[in-house]
Amino acid sequence: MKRNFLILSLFSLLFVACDSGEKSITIPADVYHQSMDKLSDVIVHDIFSPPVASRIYAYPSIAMYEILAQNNAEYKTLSGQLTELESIPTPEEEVSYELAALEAFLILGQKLIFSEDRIESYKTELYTELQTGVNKSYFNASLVYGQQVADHIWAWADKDNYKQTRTYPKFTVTDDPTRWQPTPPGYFEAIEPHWTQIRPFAIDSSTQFVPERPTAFDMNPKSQFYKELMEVYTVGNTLNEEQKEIASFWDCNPYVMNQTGHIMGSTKKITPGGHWIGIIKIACQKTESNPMKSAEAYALTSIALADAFISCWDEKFRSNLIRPETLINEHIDEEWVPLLQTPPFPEYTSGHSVISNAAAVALTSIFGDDFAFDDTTEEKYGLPVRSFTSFVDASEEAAISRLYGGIHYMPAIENGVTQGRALGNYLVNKIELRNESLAQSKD
Amino acid sequence: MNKKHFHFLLLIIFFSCQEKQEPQFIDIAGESGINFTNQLNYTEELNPYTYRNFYNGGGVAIGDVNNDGLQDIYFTGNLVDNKLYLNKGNWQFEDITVAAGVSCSDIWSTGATFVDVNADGWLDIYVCKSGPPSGENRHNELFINQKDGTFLEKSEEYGLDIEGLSTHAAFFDYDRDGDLDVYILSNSIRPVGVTQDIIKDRRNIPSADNGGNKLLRNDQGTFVDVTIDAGIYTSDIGYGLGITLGDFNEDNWTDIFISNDFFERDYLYINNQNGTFSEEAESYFGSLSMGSMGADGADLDNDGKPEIMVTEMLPATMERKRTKAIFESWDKYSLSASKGYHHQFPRNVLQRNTGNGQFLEVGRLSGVSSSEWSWGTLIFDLNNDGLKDIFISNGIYKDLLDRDYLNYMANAQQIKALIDTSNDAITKLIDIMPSNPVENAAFLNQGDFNFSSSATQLGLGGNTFSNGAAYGDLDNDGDLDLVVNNVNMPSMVFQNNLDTTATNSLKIIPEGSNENPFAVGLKAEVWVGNEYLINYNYPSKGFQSSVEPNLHFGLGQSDLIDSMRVTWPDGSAKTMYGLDLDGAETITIDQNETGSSFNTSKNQKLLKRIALPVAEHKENAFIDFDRERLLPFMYSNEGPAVAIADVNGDGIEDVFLGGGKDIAGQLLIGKANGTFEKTTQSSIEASAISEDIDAQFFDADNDGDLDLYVASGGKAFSSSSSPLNDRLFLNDGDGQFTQEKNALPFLGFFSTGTVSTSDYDQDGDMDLFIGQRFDPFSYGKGGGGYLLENDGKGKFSNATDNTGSALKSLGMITDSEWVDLDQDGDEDLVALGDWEPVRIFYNEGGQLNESVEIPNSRGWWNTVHIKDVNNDGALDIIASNHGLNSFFKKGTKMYRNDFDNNGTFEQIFTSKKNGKDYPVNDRDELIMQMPSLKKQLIYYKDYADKSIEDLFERSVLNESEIFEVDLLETSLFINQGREFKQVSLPAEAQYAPVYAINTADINQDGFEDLVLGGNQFLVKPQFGRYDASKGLVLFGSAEGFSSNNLEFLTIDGQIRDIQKVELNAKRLFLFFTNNGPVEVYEW
Repeated sequence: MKRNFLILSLFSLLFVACDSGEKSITIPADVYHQSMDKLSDVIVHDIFSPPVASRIYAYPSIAMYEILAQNNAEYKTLSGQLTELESIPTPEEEVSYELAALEAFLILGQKLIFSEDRIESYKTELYTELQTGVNKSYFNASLVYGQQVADHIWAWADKDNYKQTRTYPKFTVTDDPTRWQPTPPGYFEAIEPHWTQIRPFAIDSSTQFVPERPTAFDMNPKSQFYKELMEVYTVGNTLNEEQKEIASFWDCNPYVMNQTGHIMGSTKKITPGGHWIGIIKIACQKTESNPMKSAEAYALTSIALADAFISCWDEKFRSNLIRPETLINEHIDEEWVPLLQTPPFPEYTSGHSVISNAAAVALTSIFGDDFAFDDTTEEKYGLPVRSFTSFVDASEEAAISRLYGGIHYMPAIENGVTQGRALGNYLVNKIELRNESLAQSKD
Repeated sequence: MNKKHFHFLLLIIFFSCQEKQEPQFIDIAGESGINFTNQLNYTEELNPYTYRNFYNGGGVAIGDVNNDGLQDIYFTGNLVDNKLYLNKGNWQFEDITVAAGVSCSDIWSTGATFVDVNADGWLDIYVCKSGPPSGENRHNELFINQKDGTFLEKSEEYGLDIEGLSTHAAFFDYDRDGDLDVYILSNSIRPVGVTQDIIKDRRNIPSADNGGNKLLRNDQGTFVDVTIDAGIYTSDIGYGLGITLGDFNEDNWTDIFISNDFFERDYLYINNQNGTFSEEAESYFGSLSMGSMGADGADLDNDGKPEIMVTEMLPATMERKRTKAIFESWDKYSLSASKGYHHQFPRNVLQRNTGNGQFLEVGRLSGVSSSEWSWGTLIFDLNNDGLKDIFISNGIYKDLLDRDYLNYMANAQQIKALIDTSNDAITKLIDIMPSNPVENAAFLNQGDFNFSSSATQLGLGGNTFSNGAAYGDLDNDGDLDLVVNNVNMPSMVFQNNLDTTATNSLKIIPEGSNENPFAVGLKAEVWVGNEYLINYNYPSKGFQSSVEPNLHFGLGQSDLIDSMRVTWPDGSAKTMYGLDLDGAETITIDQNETGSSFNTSKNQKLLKRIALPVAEHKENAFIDFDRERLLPFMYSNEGPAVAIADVNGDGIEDVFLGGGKDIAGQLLIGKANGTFEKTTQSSIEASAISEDIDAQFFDADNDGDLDLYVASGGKAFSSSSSPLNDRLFLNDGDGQFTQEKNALPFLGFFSTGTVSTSDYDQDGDMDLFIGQRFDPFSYGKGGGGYLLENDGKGKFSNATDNTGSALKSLGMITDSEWVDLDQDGDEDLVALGDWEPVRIFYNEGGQLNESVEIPNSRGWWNTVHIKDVNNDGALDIIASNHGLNSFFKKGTKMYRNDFDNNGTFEQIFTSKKNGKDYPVNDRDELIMQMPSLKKQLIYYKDYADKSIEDLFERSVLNESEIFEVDLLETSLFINQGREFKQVSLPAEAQYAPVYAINTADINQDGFEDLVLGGNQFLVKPQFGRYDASKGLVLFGSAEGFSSNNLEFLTIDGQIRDIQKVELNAKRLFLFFTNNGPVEVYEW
């Protein structure tokens, strides 16, 4: 159904063509959504961890937004609003901003992922359609401009400390009983222990939204910590069908290892950030948003997601808290397995709780409260559709799903929600996307 | 009962063959009437996903079931019927399966054993069953030989109708009551990798459904389960794939080695001689194979002590290693070890039995560590040269571990797509799994644990999917033929066409007791000239198979057996002398005839371990790999620093023992009563934060007592941390030390590797050489040596520029010694290092301006020791190196550069192949460190054949620092004037990296003997820790050092220093281990 729709939309691009061609091109919003889907697919294929994936979504989205906003008086540039982002270059010739925005998006996406040929072949096919009937030099000038902006954004991205952090020390496992240790079945090392050192996009620093301290570790059965541990265990053992469905729906683990004896396999899914990128598309399509507004939604939400990951990872590798699975296996039930595979990083706070709530605040600022939608994002991974009354409704379910999944204690969820919302609110207040006077008059 | 007797048939068969061009082994299955294919077709219901051991395949049993003197063959099938082939002679076989009633139709058969369970002199058949848990006759079956070509299934009657997932069974008399008991090996149904696997002490919990391993005692024809009482593990994590019987502690009682697949470690059950066993794998073995498959135990060096060879799944080629091998992370490996799973590594292991309950793993030195997905091994003399060889069966029909398949194809999206489009999704998924047959392996024994890989040359090559295998002399021509059971292709029957004119052999056909007619458990020893050969009659071995129950000895050229001793399963022995092999001969021996006792008194050990508590070294926990992720091993465990001298003037030597980071060094005062006493040294304790790497007692301030220099090093520091500075402690004359903080010049922040003292300028005070080990944050960063000149009062200044210009830029220095090599009256300096050559700096009038390198000596040197070992009056150099029991070979390089231009230097180790350098790292490791590489290496297959030149631009490589080693042997450099001749020490000295050397004339023969020790445990699992040094004494002689003249010690640990002291009139060697105790030997 969706697929057909996209093909139709491509056909609508086939203008009557002449040799010289027209110096105009209209690209429907769905082409941008489709390109974003493509990026998500490659992120899944190439197996990026959730924080890294959030970075991959952010830079191309910002590039796309910046180019479109150049050509739209209602919108403000993000330069000066995002850390160290300077104004993008302006085109020297007549160009299609929509095409340039697409081009910059795809160039940056391609640079940030690994399987470049997947983006390349997608782009080739797409551009063959797009350039029909369009003046060649105009088309090419648009691409050149897209490249210029992509270079500009890339130079900025290259200074965010990502490259440097690749060689920073690995997380050290010790015999400290409170400290995180690798979890079965893959026993992977902790993902991105130095993500706190990635340059944030809009928050002041990675430590701006430090949550409350986690409950003090205490394996005395009367302690609060033990009670919270037992809560994970007992809830996990008494899940009803809906709780199981909720947990699976929000699993969003990019790499789940399956092993049967010598045979191993893997289940790959979109990341938590990728799920919210999917929700943006749903919201845009439901509101029939134009490319500009879609770009706005992608840019703001992907910034919220990226900064939320930085903030959350800062806390994860501050508290380095051990996962419930490890403690339950060691002290309570050595055969216990959580419904979801425990992801490879410390427990506190819950990443999904933080980033979902930050994203929900961002989306609410654009599409409003009480925005009901059917979430079809996970359909292609074999999961059913779930309906929500609002973005916040969805983000709350994402948060509690981690208890059902058996991978988080309650405080990581509750305090994670608080952390995410505070961060989201800060961002939507800080970042000005629209020239308010113009926007109001035209709306 | 008492009328036990043996029947010896000595066969010497002479053939006058033409010189043959064709290979020694020829598969004659096609012409012989044998046509057995273990056809395994997967379905939606039954496949490797639904049944874990789907591709484990079948076994082979060889034995004479109709007592016609010809060995018959039984194959087991999984989805196909088993087959029994009667040997009609002349390489013709007849399929008598149906008439015999032994087909086991529609049931998944695994292990096959010919054994005379009812002791009537006719072999019965015991068949293990596994597979999906349903169907009739699901239990193991016992086919009793009716002596007329038919068999009757009687397992229930005997109590042998075990139902479960049996892999194999081995019958033997563990309690020496005369009859045969049985160990039934099980491969647990418990899923792997689904729930928490690595749980401490899980093997102690018996399987809830009674499905575990079993030991059954034969009580007058009924088998009774004695598993738990006998001390046998029968838990859910027993993933048994191999049972190997043998006498592993030389007490003539049968012990049991069990290979366990997956995460569970192997078991070694030592027979307590009272009906129970003690499981002692952790004390007998240093390293074990991880996913252990079939195994065999036999004597490979003809010293009478059986080795154990265990197969695993490590691919043989780099391309397959890079795409199909999965290695554990350091963290996972450490977790498993801490939970009682010992040290397991993904490779074959060859455990050399050195006696006294000690095995040394020498597989990497022997070149037998990787042989593809191996199922079983058989150790037997393929070519009758008197040295047993190794055969390994290989292949799995589907590459279950292909990493591209696992990461990119077998994922949920793919599966979902298949389910959406077809109702045979799983079969479709398996269809796309790669399938590559591989060669079986044959390693011909060249002596001294050297083997040559010879499958193709022998005719045993060819790409197959092989599982169980068994040997036997099918044509009674005096050599062993080989039968191999294959999946989805015809099984192979290899005729051994050895030219038996060139070699002799001996076959012993035992006639055992009434209760054990085939004398299972018999030991036979043969002395031929200088050779001593031994064989045991344990037919069940390899993988799911049992071999001909007679003993075969290859004798090479010999035709006179000086003597022969047989030891009965009940322990009694009989010796015969002077058997002339001039034709087939039968000897009958009555057990009541008392044989003269044969004297094989063990060599008297010259070094005796004594219990003298000295002290313990403590190392700080630090994981180098967390910081420098591409390094294969750690360098942060090079302590303890040790210095020995009489510091308090009481005439007794005292010991300084350094500590790790945050752990203070200790000064131990030698006492007249022969003990050491720790003293309080507040100044030394105040510098506990430093890690002590080397130490020297010397008189720094010319006041007549010995002061202490402690070199600081290690890796657990930042790049500019003051605890990296070395320390000088002055002696108050009574053995109290106080740090003199202003005595030493600041040389920069680095880890020191060595300090050595000399009055090199002959001005009456002691000066110092200091060698830089490394930058704690950047392994390989250039370092150098320093000369510190004493002002006569204990204040030192940097004199390198003035008198030691040749000492700059020496690289990573590990040890040094001052000695007058050229006998010109002043002391010269010998220094060596990591990736560096052995260098000599001849002292010319107090100037060290010229460096003389011993050619082709770049090594991973650890220690130097100077001694005249050949009594020619010139001092020789003994230098310790990485050794040869390693995956790292000569030509290994290290490229050091900031490859991805992010401010951090990477070190990429490479191995050389056909002139190109290939990174030794796993693809994931490289990508983790340098994510940009993933663009080139999206798939594992993209990395399969990539050299470093393929991965990086030439310009990047050109600006890299490149280190290379051209000598890894621990070596002796014989002084021949200003030239030095390199001599590798014997193979046993190459079993592990050596870190400590000392010398003494222990056996008082006028030649210096060498005492060596080493090991390095902190190694990434794909390379495997080095633990085969237990302390070694090489006795000197006019001919030098040899494998025939040595003594193994029994120290567990990483030996870092060996010191000689005399205490209370006792001559002692102190062995200092890293993070462990000081072990003491008296001589």
